[in-house]
Amino acid sequence: MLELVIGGVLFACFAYTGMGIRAYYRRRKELFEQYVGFLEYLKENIGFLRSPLAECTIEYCRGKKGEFIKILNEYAKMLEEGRMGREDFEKLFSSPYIDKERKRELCAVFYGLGKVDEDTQIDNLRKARAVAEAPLEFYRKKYATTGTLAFRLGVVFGIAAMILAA
Amino acid sequence: MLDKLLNESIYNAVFADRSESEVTELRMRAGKPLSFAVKGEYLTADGVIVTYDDIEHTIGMASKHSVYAVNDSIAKGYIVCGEGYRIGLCGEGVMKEGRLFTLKNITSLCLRVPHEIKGCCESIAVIFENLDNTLIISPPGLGKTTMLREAARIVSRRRNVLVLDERGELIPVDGGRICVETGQMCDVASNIPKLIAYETLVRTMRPDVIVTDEVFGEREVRAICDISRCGVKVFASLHAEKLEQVFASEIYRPLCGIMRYFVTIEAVGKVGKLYDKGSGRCLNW
Repeated sequence: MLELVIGGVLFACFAYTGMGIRAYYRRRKELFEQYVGFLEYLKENIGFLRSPLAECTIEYCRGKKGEFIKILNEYAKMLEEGRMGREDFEKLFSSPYIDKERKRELCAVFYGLGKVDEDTQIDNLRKARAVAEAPLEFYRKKYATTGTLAFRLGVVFGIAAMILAA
Repeated sequence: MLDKLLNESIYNAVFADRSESEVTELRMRAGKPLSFAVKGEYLTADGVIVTYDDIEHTIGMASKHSVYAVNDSIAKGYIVCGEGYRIGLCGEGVMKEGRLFTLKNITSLCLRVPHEIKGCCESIAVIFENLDNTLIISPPGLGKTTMLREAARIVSRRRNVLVLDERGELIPVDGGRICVETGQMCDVASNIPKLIAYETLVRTMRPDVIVTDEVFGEREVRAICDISRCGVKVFASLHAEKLEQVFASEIYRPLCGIMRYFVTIEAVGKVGKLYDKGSGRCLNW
């Protein structure tokens, strides 16, 4: 009976770890998908309605969930309070899902938002979208391969541990 | 609003011992002491030197950190934000294709604080009863806009009033919300060039009265005369020191031709003369 319980616990631990790793890859992929979506949304809104950044940000976040949405909600607060220093953006993008290089890119893009005229802004958003394409593709692949593999290995190791314990 | 628009040190220097309603204007010039107007008199905040950061902060907050949204008005030298705060800008012009494209290195700001003075139109109530073309005349800063706002509020209780507010300070609208009290029959066309608005909105909105601020130049005078010919009444304001100057001006003579009432302002929010061209006499003197 005890062996069965230990086996069950070991299975749960391995499977949970596998799921955790997969969730990390999924969240990172989703974060960048939402980032690219936000750039597209801004491009359309600025080009047509010239809505201010806070309005665009709040509207984009409506009804959505995710790591990047949390970041955008904080960004909307920063706009409201006028916290627009470089250090504010460094803090904004401190997330386990964003590596150093991406953080630098995101900080540069967000720091530059709203500082230029409409045409230049749209051009900058287009460039940022193009730059984000490669990492997004990379993160999608990573999720499909490493993330899925980690989950499967977790389950397999869990079953193996359960058998060994029994 | 002002506490957000101004850096903390600037705000505290001005409003530590006075309320926001007392101050009508703030002047921020980089490297110079902060000055502000209280009831028309300029005061200097002791020991407070305005920095570029202070100016940048105010512009950032006024534009909601979205320069692209206000660049057209920046090129015209101002930003209007919140409940009708108008910020005049002075800096280096950037030209593009022969026109002023934007301003950079902004070194001076003139922030005008809007005020609602309910009842400031009591002495000219006859205009609202007779409802005819009216021109409000005064030098800058004496409350033409405030008076027009009050007129729009009163008249729009019973008549369809269309407010043509090119600069967004007469009846301020923020994010689709009208920020001051108006009557129930008031329509506001905000940030639309007046010449376009005269042409299109008069037909589409079919107003009884049009309220418009700071008439300027021959084209606008012609447009107003056209509207008047269509039977729409006009309440307008004009920068001038004296009534006689307006009558003597080549450009504004046609405008005077269609106006019935002329109101001058002698001090902040205080009506001077109310001249009725129909009877040829001053009604309040």
